[in-house]
Amino acid sequence: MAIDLSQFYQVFFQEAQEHLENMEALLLDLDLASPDEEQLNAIFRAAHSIKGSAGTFGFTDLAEVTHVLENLLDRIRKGELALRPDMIDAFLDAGDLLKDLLAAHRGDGEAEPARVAETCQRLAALAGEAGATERAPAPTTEPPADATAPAALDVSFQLDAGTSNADAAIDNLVAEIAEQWACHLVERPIEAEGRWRLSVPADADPEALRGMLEFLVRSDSIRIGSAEPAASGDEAYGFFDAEPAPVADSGTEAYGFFDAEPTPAAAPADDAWGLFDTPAKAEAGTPGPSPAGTDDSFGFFVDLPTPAPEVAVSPAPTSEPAPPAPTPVTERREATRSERRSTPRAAAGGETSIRVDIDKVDKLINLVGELVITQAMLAQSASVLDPVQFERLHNGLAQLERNTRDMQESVMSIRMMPISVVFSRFPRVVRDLAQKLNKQIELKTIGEGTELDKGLIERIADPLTHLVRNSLDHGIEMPDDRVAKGKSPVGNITLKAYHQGGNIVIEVADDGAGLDRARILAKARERGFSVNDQISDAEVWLLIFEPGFSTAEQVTEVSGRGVGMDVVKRNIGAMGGRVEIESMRGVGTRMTVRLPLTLAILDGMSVAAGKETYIIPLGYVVESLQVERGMIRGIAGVERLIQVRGEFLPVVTLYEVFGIPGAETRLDHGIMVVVEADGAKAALFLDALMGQHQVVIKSLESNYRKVAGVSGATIMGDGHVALILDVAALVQMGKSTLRAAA
Amino acid sequence: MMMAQELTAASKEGSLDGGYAEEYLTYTLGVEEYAIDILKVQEIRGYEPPTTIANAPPFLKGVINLRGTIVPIVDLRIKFGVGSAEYTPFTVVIILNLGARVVGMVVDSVSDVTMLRQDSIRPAPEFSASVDTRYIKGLCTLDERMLIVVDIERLMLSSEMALVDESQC
Repeated sequence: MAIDLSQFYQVFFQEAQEHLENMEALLLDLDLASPDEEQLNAIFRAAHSIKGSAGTFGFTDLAEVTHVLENLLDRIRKGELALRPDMIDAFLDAGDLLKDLLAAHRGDGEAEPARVAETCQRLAALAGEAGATERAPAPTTEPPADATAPAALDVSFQLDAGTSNADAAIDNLVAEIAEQWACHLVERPIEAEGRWRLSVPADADPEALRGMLEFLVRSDSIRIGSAEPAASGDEAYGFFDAEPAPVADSGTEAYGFFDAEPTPAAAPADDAWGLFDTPAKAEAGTPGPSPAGTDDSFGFFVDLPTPAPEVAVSPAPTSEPAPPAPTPVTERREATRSERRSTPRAAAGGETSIRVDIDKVDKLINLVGELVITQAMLAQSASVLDPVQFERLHNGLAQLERNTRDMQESVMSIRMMPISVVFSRFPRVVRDLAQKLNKQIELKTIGEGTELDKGLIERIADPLTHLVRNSLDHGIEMPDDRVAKGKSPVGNITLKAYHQGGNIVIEVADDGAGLDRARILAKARERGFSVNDQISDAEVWLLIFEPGFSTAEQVTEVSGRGVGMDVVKRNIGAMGGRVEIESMRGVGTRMTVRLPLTLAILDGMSVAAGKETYIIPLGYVVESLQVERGMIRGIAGVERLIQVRGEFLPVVTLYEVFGIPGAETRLDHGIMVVVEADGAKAALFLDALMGQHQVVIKSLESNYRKVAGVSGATIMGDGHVALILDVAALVQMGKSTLRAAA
Repeated sequence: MMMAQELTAASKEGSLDGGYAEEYLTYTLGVEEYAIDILKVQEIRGYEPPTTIANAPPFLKGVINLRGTIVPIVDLRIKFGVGSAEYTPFTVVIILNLGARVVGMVVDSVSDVTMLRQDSIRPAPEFSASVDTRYIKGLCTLDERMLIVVDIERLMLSSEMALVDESQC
């Protein structure tokens, strides 16, 4: 009977996370002056979904926060409250809190009950509940004896006719429900077909409750309503326990209230059960019962301020229908409607994407890589066969080649994700930061659809955030300064992504003050860098990537500690990318990040030394040349330098570094490949260039260990392993030879 | 049904004398015969020239591509200075699966797969085998032959084999 819910936790976490992200994006997008109804509804739905599932899984804190959130949203969406900027802030904070709570439930981080309470208070206050928690006394029609005690829900149902051993089954059920909410059996029927009644606290989630019940009892017989009030309300107006149709009817008769919307006269039983499921919610959303109708300025009840207090005072007016009743009805009906509307959409979404473990995808990519190699080997073997005699074989192999290429391409595209995944976080970052710094910023994003490898997406987020924060903090001036300079007070930050060649380019541009050459140079000297005034702008800008370099005049919470830009550069470098800066004083700064499309594939140049093949990542290669005797310079009798166009480059000989037997040792007979890494150049000496390939990077460390001078391995077309050179390390070796020589 | 009976019979046989039997793969290195837990063996394949790795110890022949995985190949004959380190079409490589790592080792020849009862494996005295006694689980006699039962995982992941970064040892 008891289902282990924990197996669904992961799904819940993921869904909740998505809902939260969605909600945040929508909130940031909202137009304060005239909020789009559809957007409000979407936000509401997101909160509602989280609340529903959180309740089901017993994450009460999550459910509690979303509940208050939902109340406020509901009122806004119905036009009872005007949307204010502070509300958006509160919503965003609540969203953050929910994220933290989610993380806490996941096992990282701590839940802070105080923060939960605080956020609930804040939202409740905004909703006009004057500090009341959402668990206010239930139905207005009957003030409960203890105003603070949560009212109880009355649950009644009939058992399946065929259920044997009903007593034991019910005991089990009660015990199960009692694990979550204090629940006790109110009434046992005498005859088998009779109704059972349970009493459950009002904070219980009716949906969850219903789910539990449905396993055992006839689902059409379940009724969940408010308990004691219902009982008396029952007598008073036969209102709460009634079937749905009469409610709607009486509502219609009494007010003509539902005229605008078609009354669900033939409301299916399904709609009916939920009618009174959330008296507390209805209450929270209803100003009526709040202290003496002080809040009667809210749109919805403006016309009927009087009945509410009246009802509150005299709990049993027989003739006058209770005014709050329509509210739950409308709300419920709307909720049902939106649920109905959203169901097909959700179903459609479910069909278009599936969640797959990234390991499975990587395995698939590996296998396809293997397939390509096997195919290449087959083609190789078949190429010696007579084309006439083996025509069909050749045709088949040609077909196979096409298919494998297509397959490889599609499989690779599985790992590709649009960069909007990263960009979507920036509106929030910029908004919060701009607020903190009292700057006015407009963020533009271009090319969100540009796709790059998932591995890169995860790793680019932090460096990009840093660049954006940097632009915001250092780049954009204060609004007054901007006006003084004749610019619009609102600063622009543009995020732009696009493909260029085999790279993806991401630009972070601002129209701020630009970099200050003089100050950077002064700072560099202060830090003890050896710089002269003659160096080019580009070189000056690169100084800001040096560790411990910050030109911010004061250290702020945001930036200025000088850690960061160097980390940014290092992280991007680790991804095989690079950063460039363009800046003009008074006009702005543009930082350009260039990344390879994927981490798994690399453009490489294959080179030979002795019998070995090595791969040099193409990104590092500057040029390759054959040297003449005259270009070679010796140090202490050993030929260690070559002079290329006036520049002296240290020579790193592969045959020495890797101890390759039988390789060319005369510098003027082999090939020099000039490489550049971390701003330093070196010439790699090797036997010959072989070709240019896209190679799949394999780790050497997963089964072996790190090898000096080698960053990884790859499998060549013939199935052999080739090692990928760690150019940065080789250049370092070149530097040290130079130093040793000096 | 038959299968089940056979299995029960086998497990009964295995549990005689209080010890349970495990399957071992035996191989030779020079004149010595070694046994390793067969569950650590992924496959046995012919030797193909690997890609050499710079500055690696001589017994590390290099790395091969095993269906998309880069696998280092160790020649135990060179490591332990036994047998002749020649590579013929009959040279075999035992691919071991040691937890997260896959390693290949070259031996003189693979002999057999045999069942050994745990209680038939006697603790090894301090003696001079090619392999350090630290990595020897024990000795076992089988048809008048002596088998050296090796803890292959411990041996391969030891710092001596230099297959693992020092920090991970």
